Order: sequence, then C-alpha cells, then structure tokens
Amino acid sequence: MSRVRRPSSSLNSGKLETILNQLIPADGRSFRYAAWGVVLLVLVHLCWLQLRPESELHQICAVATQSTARRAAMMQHEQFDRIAGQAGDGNVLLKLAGYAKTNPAVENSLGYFYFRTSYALYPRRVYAAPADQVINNGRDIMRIGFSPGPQWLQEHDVRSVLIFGNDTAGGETPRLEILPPRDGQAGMQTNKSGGN
Amino acid sequence: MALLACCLYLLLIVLVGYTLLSVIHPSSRMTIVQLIGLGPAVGAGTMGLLLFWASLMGFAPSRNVLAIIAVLTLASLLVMEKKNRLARVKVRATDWEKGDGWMVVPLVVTVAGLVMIVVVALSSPLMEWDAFAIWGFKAKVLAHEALRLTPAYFHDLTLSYSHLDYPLMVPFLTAGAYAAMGTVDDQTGKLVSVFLDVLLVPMVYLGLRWKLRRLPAACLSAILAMLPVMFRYGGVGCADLPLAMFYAGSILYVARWIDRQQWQDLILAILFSAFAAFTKNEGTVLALMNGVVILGFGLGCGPRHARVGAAAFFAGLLAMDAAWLIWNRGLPRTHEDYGLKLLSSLATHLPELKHIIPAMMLQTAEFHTWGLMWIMAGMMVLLGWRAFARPYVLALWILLGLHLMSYALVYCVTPWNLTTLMSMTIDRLLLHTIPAVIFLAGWHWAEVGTSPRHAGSGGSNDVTAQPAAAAH
Repeated sequence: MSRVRRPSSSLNSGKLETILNQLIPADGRSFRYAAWGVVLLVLVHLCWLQLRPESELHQICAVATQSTARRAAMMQHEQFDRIAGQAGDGNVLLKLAGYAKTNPAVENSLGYFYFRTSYALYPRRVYAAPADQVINNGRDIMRIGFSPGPQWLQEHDVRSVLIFGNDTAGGETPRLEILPPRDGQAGMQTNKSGGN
Repeated sequence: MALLACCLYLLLIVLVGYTLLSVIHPSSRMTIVQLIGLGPAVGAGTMGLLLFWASLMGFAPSRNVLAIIAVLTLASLLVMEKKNRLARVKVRATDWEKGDGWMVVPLVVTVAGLVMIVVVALSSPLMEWDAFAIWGFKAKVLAHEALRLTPAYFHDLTLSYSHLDYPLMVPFLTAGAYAAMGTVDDQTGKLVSVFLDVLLVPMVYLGLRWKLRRLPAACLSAILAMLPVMFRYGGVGCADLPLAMFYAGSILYVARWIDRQQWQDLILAILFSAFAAFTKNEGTVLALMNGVVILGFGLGCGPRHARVGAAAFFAGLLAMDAAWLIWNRGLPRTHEDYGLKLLSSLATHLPELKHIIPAMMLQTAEFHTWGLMWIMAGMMVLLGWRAFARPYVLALWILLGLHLMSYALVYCVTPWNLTTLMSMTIDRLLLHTIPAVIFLAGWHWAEVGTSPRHAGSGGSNDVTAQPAAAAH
C-alpha cells in the first residue's frame, strides 16, 4: 500500500498549498485581459476626474495661479501675517472684544487667527491664556477670557495687543494696537494698524 | 539662492541614502528607481533622525551640522569607492521586456501628476491648518532651539492645539531646510515636504516591481499618482504622505523578509518602521504591527528563525527610536491621548464601531477622492485569488486588517465629535493604507491567470539588489 505523498518543504517554499489552488482551473488569458481592462479603466477614469473643471487638480491650480480663488485664499493668510509682522519686537496679547467674547459663531475664525498668528510670530509669543491653560480651539480662548494686568504684560514683554472682535470704538476684527513704551504707566493705546 | 540651498540639502539627503544603501547592499546593482526612490527615502529618514539626535545633544539644525553630515557622508562614499563596495546603477537594454515600450504612457501620466503637485506646492506658503499649526510650527521651534534644554514650546499648554507630543521627523527635515537656506522661508521649505510626498510613488513602484513586470507596475503607480487624494494632500506640508511613504517601505521589506529571509530586507524593514514611528503617532502602532507579523510568520519558518528575526526587528526599532520614546515621555498629552484612552475606555465605546465601519466603507466608494481604486483592488483580489497562498500576501492582508482596525478603534475613543472628525480626517487616514492596498492589488495581479504550480513565479524580474559578482 503506497503512502500518501506529502508536499516536501522545498515544494512548499514561498507558498502554501491550499484547497483553492488545487481544484479550480482557470482560463488564464481571459483573466489577464480582465485585469488589464480593470486597470486601464481606472486609470482613464482618474485622468477624466482630473480634467473636469471641478476637480481637485483644477481647484489647486486655481489657487496656485493668480486667480480670484487664490486671492481669496491668500487674503486671510496675508492679512494675519501682515498684522503679525507689524507687531515689531516683543510679545503680543490676544484680546477679545465685543461679540467675540461670547459668540460661538466666531470660534472657528478665532482659533484660526490664533493658530496663524502664533505661527507667524514665533519665536515671539501670542498670549491668549496663562501657560497652564489648555487651548485646543477658539472655544477654549473664549472660555478662558484672558485679561492680564499691566504687571503681567510687563513681565512677559508684551508690547502690543491683537484685538479680535468689535469694540466700542467701532473697530472691526482683527487689529493691532502697539503699547506705549513702559515708563511705569500701564496703558495700551496708541498706533492702530492692520485689519480691515 | 534659498532654492539652491534647499536643493543642495535634498542632494545631501540623497547622498546619505545612497551611502546607507551601499552599506546595506555592498557592491550591489541598483535600478534607477531604487536610486531615485529607495535611496532618498532611506536618506530622508536617516537625516531626520540624525538632526533629532544632534538636537538632543544641543545642536539645533544649522549649516555646521549639515556640513558635518556632508563631510562624513562623502568620506564614507570615498572609502566605499576605494573598497569597491558602492552600489552601482544598473541600466541595461537587455533587461527590457516585450511591451515595456508602452511604459511611456503611464510614465507621462505619473510625471505629469507629480510635477503638478510640485508646482502647486511651491507656489504658495503653508496654508493648510495642520501644516502650519502643527508641522510648520514645530519646524520653526526646532530650527530656533535645540532639544537638549527642552524648548518652552513643548510644555506650553496654550499651544496644545499644535499637538505637543507629535513625532518630529517632518519638522526636523523642514528645520534642516531652513538651516540650509539660512532663513525660515516656509514657501521654499515646502520643497522638502513635496519631496517626501512624491517619493511615495517610486516606493510603491518598487514594491510592485518585486512581483510585476514594468508595464503593470507603472500603470498601478500612475493610478496612485493620479488619485485626487494625492493632489489634495501632496505638497501641503502635512506628515500624512511621508508616513505613507515610510510605511510603504516598511511593509514591502517585511513582506520580502517573510518571503526570502534575507537580512538586508530585515534591516530595511527596521529602518522604515523606525522612520514611520518617528513621523506620526500612527507610525508607532504600525511599526509594532510589523514586528508582530514578522514574529507570527517567522514561527512558520521554525521557532529559532522567528525568534531571531523578531528579536532583531524589535531591538533595531527600539535602538533607533529609543531617544524619541524617552524624550517624548515627559511631554504633556492634552485632549488626545489615544494610547491611554484605548486602554481605559475602549470597551465602553465599542458600540461606536457600528457607525465607524460603515463610514469607512462608504469612504472607499467616494469616487471623487479615490476614483475606482478600491474597486480595482477588489477586482484584482478576485482575479488573482491564488495569491492568498503566498505567506507574504497573507502577511500584508493581516497588516492591512490590523491597520484599519486600529484606526476604527481610535475613532471609537476620540474626544472630538465623531461625525465632524471623521468627515475631516477619514480620507487622510485611509491614505496611509494606500501602499498596502496597491501592493495587494499588484501582488494579486501577479497571480492572475497563472497555473497553480507556477503561481507568482513568472510575473516579473526581481528588483532585489544583486551582488555584482553574481550578475555576471
């Protein structure tokens, strides 16, 4: 009686013997054509997707070129970066005014403003809260409602204030106020710049 | 001038990678794609880690640090050249096969897609929220201060939104560009980001060429290059595509190690896993999964081999990322501490999976994001079902399953609003899985129409670097 033949280890090197690859015959050529057909269809479809006017490619091209879309996208960045550039030396305090103190509708734009100006100003700082307060979004800034005194501003070398939101002066968001040089007096009113 | 300095910095990265490849594969033959894909990928990861280690020693990225790295690299190249141990580029007309002439079509499509990504990236400064708030901000901090005395940034909770504990590979590589340029110019510095992003395509091509002929490998690579999601995230300055690129290298060489048990493959698997772990937190989990799969499949080759391979993998991974893991341990984890949350509250959030899994599946049918790529992958699996007999294919399926499962579980415990978070991040997270999905599509394709006994044996040339002596 012959023994059942078992696959040798060399036969099995690199692949496993399964019930599938023993039993099912296949017409290899038609399968290969089918595979090629699928791949070419997907590639053509992707090219077509990118040629449509509303494609990702067209959108980023519009942003990259001197188009209206680019100007709209760049305007906010440039505005925030310009304000940060006008802050000069020293750190900056972020202060909320008017509706920005309580209106949830500005959470997103407040967060964006804080993130962008913090990035643009580094290694100078934008203070929106004491260092032990967690800020993950605009809501956190509104919740904390940071309003330090003159002593704190002096200790942290704060030389200008970024005001986000409207105030009694009728200003619109955002704008920068340079603090006067410190000579023992507290105050935050002189040059107004930035914003629109 | 800044652009020239940035290009020289990238050239240094390429040289570092070429040197390391020559060390790993002495006197070997490299294909052009290995030279322009694998070498720069290894070089980028190595440069990121070198800059991190130098910063820990008190040297922030600077022209002096880069000059030292350049001198050491050139000296190593000279020594290896004298000993005839440099990898050589292989370009031989006899290697070309019938039908390869058609490669010009997918090649043109690929190059067009990548050039568009590069041009768009370099035409604007960092604009994506995550790009400037997280990665760009860290790059500025690292360019400004060394890590030896931990910069105040890393403990300032008012900057928690920038994820203080996130890994530093992309920020360090960007800070290196700033050092080379001598100024913080984030628009020119995006060249580094886009360089890392487009490397994904040659890395995926390499993985496909392992089992496929040139033309099908090039077609699948072109599909990758033309994915709308690549245009969306390519060159924006985020770390998602660099993670996908390093992850592509790691799973390719894990698969090769499982298939061939060659130490060079294991070394590259360790390197790429370590790079991925230093690129994003997800990369740490993916690196550990690679190790578990190496151990699991190694057991099939005999316990000793499994133990040695897996031990070497974990030891290498730990050696390369230990400094990061130790240094990072003291950083505050605010809001998102997924590791702790997964351990403490996963069980109570598991029912969320009934929303998460369908949402992930629906995302794959978003044609405007993925085209028909996921459907194509499914078709290839059906047509090339014999590939399931391959241990390395099974290993990749397991890795992909673990990968998707880990993301689903993270969504379960997220502190953010799940619906909002998923709509913002799901395409980015699935982007990380793209190398595995395309490899699977290609490796299954390699088995389409083959006879059971010869499945997978006749698909393509192997692009393994071969010793020059053996080639003649």
